[in-house]
Amino acid sequence: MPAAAARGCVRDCALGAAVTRTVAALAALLALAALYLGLAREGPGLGALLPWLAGDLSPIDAFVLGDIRLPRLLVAAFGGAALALAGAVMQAAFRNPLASPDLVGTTAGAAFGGALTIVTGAAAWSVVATPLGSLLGAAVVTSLVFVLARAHQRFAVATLLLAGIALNTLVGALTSFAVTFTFDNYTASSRVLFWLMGGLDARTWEHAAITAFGCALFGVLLLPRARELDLLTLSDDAAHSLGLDAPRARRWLVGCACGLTATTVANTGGIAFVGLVVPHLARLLVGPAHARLLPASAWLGALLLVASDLGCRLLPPDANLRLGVVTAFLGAPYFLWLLARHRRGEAL
Amino acid sequence: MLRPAVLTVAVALAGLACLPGCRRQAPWQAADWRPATAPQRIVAASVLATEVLLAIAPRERLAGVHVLAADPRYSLVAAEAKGLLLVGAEPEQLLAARPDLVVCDAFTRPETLALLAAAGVPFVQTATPQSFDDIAGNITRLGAVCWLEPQAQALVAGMRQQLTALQQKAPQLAGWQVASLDGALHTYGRGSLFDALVRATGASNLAGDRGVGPFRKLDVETVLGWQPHALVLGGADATDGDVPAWLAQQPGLSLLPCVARARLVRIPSPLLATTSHRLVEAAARLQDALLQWGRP
Repeated sequence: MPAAAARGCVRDCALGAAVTRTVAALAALLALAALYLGLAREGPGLGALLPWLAGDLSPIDAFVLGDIRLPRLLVAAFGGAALALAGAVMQAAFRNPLASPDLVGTTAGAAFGGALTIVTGAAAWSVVATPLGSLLGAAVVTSLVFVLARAHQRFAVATLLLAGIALNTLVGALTSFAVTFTFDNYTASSRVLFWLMGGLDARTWEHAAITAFGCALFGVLLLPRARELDLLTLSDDAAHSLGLDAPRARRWLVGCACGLTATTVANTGGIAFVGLVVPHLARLLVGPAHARLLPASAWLGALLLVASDLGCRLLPPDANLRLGVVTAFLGAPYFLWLLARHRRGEAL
Repeated sequence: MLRPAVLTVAVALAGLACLPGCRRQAPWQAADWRPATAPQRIVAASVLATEVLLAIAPRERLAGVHVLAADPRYSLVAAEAKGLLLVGAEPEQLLAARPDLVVCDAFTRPETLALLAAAGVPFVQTATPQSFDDIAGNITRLGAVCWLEPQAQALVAGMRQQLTALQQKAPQLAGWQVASLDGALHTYGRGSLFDALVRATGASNLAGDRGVGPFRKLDVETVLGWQPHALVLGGADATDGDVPAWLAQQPGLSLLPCVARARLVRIPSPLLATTSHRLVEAAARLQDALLQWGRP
């Protein structure tokens, strides 16, 4: 066989495998989505899905499926994807397998903004008040970290981390201070507490739109930059010798990760460990190259958050298990496993 | 330089600018709204609504009640609530009861209300009461929206009758200063229903008199400085004078004269925390205990 034909065959086979993998991944996501929509303790079940699609369901059941479960599913899927993408970017940009989206104060800023809307009563104006307050808080704190980290026109990892830790602590203290103002008001204090614990109950189409918009926008900005992320995992000097302005690329990519985190946390509250754990799982599946790692992380993140929230939904009403608690339960053992591996001398 | 962050700020600001337009106002959110016909599938999405509706509405008109209403730690009607559909706070659970009216409270999240409005399910929100008049207002409103005005009026009249009976004995308790306390040293102050309850008996609530807000955490030093004549404690089936374990474990509190003299009024937690007409029973219980002890 001539060499050109052999190369063509290899390319076709690789393309075929990629298409198969993509179709399988989408099928798994769709199957989980169908289970998510159809499984419930009460109300319309799996048998109602086809009549719903055919427009042959009672208005109330159609509302439950189309306006309660579907927006919640979309927030979980896009939110999980966004957090996992952000985690993959942060781990590459900081060359640290333990980096996560909350490293540079984005989550803390979002929590502060969200808590402030509840404490001031703005949350009662509209269902989008808390998400927008969170977005604003996340953007302000993240921008501040970036400005503080930028010394002498450089954008070093150490200064970014230090600025992030300092602002995280400060904004965390401000959130606690804001929460103390709600002690006299059960309504506000319970809302702040539940929001900080993270959860997807009572999500509306407005929440789904903000999460999907953030995930799509920043995801589209990130995906063509997979090569830059690969280069950033080398040293800055090595990346520079291969034609990459590492500080500039890092600033841009971390900014996008913060955008992904902010638009998600604003609608879900605090969701722990997804950004930290999912990129590691994705690396086990597709390897470290970011052209594959980013879509795989997004897919796995969506699966994880949708499955976790399905578990929360199926529990009895008095269980009150929050999504942030479920993801922490899933993520913490993995984190400890990473630690054990590290102790045995294996790479993280 | 910071394009993603600037973009995020822009999105947030644009959204905030649209906020006033986003607010949805359903017809049933008007203060004087009343359904055209009597609702037959009412969901009581709070303990307060359950306690009131079980007192004024035929049981078959209740399509569901809040899950806490069936929990004897929080509800005075736990036994009656058994057998009814129990719902949580999520809109899907509320809608599963197929309601034609949902009675929410101030705790109900704006997102849940927005989804109920979008589903076309009428709802009313009870106010957070701070006095017996507020409680009467909530009952009257529930009676109006459920087409049960005579029953609601009778319930309010019964509560007011009991309050009048309390007022007749109130002068005997002038000079009594009491405080509420729980295991974490929280107390109810000015603006709380406990304050209204104590005033109804003729005694005074020390925390309220000292300007403490509705719900505050105290330290032992403050409680020792106040020297209340009696402590009101929540709890399960305990009799007055019984010293709870948490109080015995606080070495400072055992120095209080009221603890040494066992002037501890034990009111079951659901009765102490209720925001319904049943609160008057807690007031009667407190008044009886204080009258039994005579002078402070």
